[in-house]
Amino acid sequence: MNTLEIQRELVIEKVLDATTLSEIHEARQTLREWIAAHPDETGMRDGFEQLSLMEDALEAQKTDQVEASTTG
Amino acid sequence: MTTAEQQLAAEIQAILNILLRITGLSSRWNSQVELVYEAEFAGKKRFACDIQISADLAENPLRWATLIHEALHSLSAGYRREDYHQFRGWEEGVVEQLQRMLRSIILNELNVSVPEEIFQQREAAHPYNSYIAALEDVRTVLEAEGVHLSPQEFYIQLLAVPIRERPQFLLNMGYLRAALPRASFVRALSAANAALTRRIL
Repeated sequence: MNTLEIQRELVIEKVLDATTLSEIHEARQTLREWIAAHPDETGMRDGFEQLSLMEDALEAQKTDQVEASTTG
Repeated sequence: MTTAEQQLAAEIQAILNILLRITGLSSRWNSQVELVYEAEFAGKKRFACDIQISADLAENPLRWATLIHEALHSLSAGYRREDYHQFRGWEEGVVEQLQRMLRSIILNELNVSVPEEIFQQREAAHPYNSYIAALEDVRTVLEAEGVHLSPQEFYIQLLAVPIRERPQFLLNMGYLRAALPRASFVRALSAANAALTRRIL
């Protein structure tokens, strides 16, 4: 792999590995910067899909936990 | 819905009519599309039953890949937030690979003509390519050992299995092959699962 490919793979790993809210926010920023620098890489944008769905899942989990603690 | 949202909803429904016939699966989409302005994502199938599409894609031919991808999420068994969190690669890899396999069939049936080059550019650098590579590693091991499924059948079968059960489904598929060298198959599946769940067990 050349340098560009290695750098891209690092961005992708950060996106795919993000599982906490702070990791998701950080990965989102990294992906934003990558896409700004490489606007022709139209597929990289799909990384935001997974980040957004992971964030939705975590925030729903937090809501469930709050509701459980107030009704329990 | 706005006129633009209604147009996209009609396009997704047309896509789904074809996918329902090809896959035999049923959709959990509620026919609602929301255009999201300044969205960073291209498209999103929410765990509620609607689909969100970035407004800047509404009239971009690239949208067809996104619409097909999101439509496939609506067919996916067990598409729940808890399972997506843990098994996200097992969902995104299957859906994206099926999108790539079925897109030309779908666009031909819809009489939609889009230069293939724009999709190839999209796929050349794509975050889900590693998910697809992991799934293909397992599929080709199974194929080499005589599991007679076309690539399309393989991914449609996976789509029909609840997300969290997909690793076990493939494990069972391998173990049913008495002649399959189990050690190499298990190694391939284990490596794939690590890539798809982003965890090393």
